[in-house]
Amino acid sequence: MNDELETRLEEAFAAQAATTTTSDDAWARIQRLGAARDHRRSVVLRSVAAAVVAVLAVGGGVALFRDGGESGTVATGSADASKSIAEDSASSAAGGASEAAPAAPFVPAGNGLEVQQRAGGTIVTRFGSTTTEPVPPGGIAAAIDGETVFGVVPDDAVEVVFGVAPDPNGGGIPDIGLGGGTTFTVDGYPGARFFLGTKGTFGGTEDVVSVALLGGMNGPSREIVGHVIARRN
Amino acid sequence: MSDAITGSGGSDGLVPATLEQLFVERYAAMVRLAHLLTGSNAVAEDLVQDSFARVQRAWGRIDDPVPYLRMTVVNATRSWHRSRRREQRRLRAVGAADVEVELGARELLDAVDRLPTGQRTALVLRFYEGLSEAQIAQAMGCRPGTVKSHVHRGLAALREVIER
Repeated sequence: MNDELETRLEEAFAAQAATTTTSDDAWARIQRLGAARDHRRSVVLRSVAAAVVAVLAVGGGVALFRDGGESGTVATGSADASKSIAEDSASSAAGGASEAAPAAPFVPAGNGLEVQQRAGGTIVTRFGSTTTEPVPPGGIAAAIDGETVFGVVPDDAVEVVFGVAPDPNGGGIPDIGLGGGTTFTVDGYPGARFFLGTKGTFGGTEDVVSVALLGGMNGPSREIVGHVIARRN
Repeated sequence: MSDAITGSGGSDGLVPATLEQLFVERYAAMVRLAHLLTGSNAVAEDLVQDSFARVQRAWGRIDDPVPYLRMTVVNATRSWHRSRRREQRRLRAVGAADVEVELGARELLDAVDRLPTGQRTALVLRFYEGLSEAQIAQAMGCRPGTVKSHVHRGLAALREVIER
């Protein structure tokens, strides 16, 4: 029965297939379909590429809202993640000065180091949080809020530098969590003490700067308005 | 069975070097296959032409375009069945009127048309294309065991219709 059914099925399929016709312009239609598909695909790809470029162009800024009722602050960091702090600094003078502002000179910092002040705006954080940005080649970065240096991490995976500023009551900022190291001062930052510690004491990885607010767990939120680059002199 | 082009799983040892060669060798056979799977000559041509355009886009990534083309056509017919069931019934009715086959064959084809898509596809690929279970599984994107089940159930359903 099965064999008979299968034979009948084969014959029926063959009979119907024999009635099938094809159009003369099939090949031309396929080519048109292919061209249309390619066109649609290129349009989509171009649109996606344009959207990505647009996002990258405006996406360098990250909005983080500060607590205490203050308004949100938007950083104006570079869209290019590989852009160095030095490049950022040169293009972001304090108060939003023009991109052509010259970089600040390196000043002696003691302990064989010299530092360069960088304008703020590229790092925005809130109390208790951290943020990161690329480390400049051979550089060490720190974040500063007025006289307060928030944190510094080297890029050479050898040292960590923290700046410590005295609090208004003269007690300093005690909760930096470092168990050793030396402090040094920087000309132009009267009263601020920079701390030279060991990598890993206060976060950071080998290829990014981790900037953390210091000032104690119960301290106020602050906006980091500047940072410094330290290097061996 | 139909002509020599059908009834082979792969490229018979000769892989078409260009899309145009593939078209010359396989277009008519694929339209016949799609005709059997959809019941409509016109729909079959549209689906096969679209399948060729898809194969063209993937040409650089495929080793043997014949099984790939067959799989694309089968997928296209299944998608067509899924998304256009109402229209399919209308077109099948129109197509049935156009097909001049003997009465017994017409009844059998009508019974095949009423089968679930998977069973109909498996039966056409088995008894028209002459593919093995493994080749049918490749074309349908399922396991050989599923193909076996589709063929068995499809034949059982047809047998019921015939014996009624």
